[in-house]
Amino acid sequence: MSNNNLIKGSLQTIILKLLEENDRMYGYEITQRVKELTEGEIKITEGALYPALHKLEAEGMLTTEIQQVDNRVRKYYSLTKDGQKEVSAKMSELQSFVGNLQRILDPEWKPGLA
Amino acid sequence: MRQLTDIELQEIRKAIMRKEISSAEILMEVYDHYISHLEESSEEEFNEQLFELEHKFTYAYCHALQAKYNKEIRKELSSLHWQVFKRYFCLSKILYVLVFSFLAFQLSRFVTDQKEIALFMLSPLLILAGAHIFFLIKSYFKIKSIKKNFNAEGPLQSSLFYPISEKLYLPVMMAYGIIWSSEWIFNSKTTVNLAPSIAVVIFITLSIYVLTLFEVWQVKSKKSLI
Repeated sequence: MSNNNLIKGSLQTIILKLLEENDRMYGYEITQRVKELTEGEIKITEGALYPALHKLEAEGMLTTEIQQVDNRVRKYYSLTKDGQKEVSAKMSELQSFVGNLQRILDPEWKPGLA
Repeated sequence: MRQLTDIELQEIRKAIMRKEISSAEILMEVYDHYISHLEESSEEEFNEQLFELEHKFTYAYCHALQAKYNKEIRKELSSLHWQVFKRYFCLSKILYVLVFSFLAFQLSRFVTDQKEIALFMLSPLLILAGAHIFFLIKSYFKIKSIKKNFNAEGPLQSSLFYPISEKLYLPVMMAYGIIWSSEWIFNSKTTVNLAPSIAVVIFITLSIYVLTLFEVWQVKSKKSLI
């Protein structure tokens, strides 16, 4: 099943959350980390990742630094202060959405119950 | 993870160059993605994996990514410039601005003829010209190694190069405007007495503009290829 549409809406939250846990990351590393955490269930496409990273950077949520790696330049992304504030806002927004979705799918479901 | 061979690296560069990317930041990001991905595949899988990457990073995708990035950069740069400019009027810096303005007004008293007024008004442009030369040299050396690595002869440049260059040219255009309207400023009976004051206001505005632009460039040069 393709869950691309489901991921699309939460891609920014995923990126911000990963960067909150890992001081700084580069594009390819983000795709691999998501793949690893979800055991390959979620694959972030490059087509969506880089525009999202650039947008967050332009909005001031992320800052970048370039570093020479072997014979090439690597661009690392990390959270700005605004980005750090945005993570908690985005996380609670997403958690509340998931909770509401859960209630729609399973009216018997109560938060905190497995 | 393995070290890619020179032939493999050459093949990657060729594949990326075919996309005719002109933004150095996008080019380097795509190149790093390719290498990071291919380093995890075996020598036998190399061609297959490269082919897969080529399907993801198509010519159209790279150009769309580049266009979006250039647009975002322009927006970000303007917003950063405005933020830096506003900071000059915050409590921490306003005192310096006021002292500088006071000194500029005092200096304007010694300015008498047209030539002196023009020189006084446009003197920040000399700093700007110096900054521009420094900017061009630094950008050239930052891009030089990438161009050499990719054997690129096309218009490869940092995405920030043109937006900053435009901002550098803005005061020059303003200077043309001043020269064009100098007849009105210096020869009209109503404005001739105000000329030194007009000159000092332009001098202060230009100085702050140049200083803020220099700060923006300093911030961005640490994080990008300018």
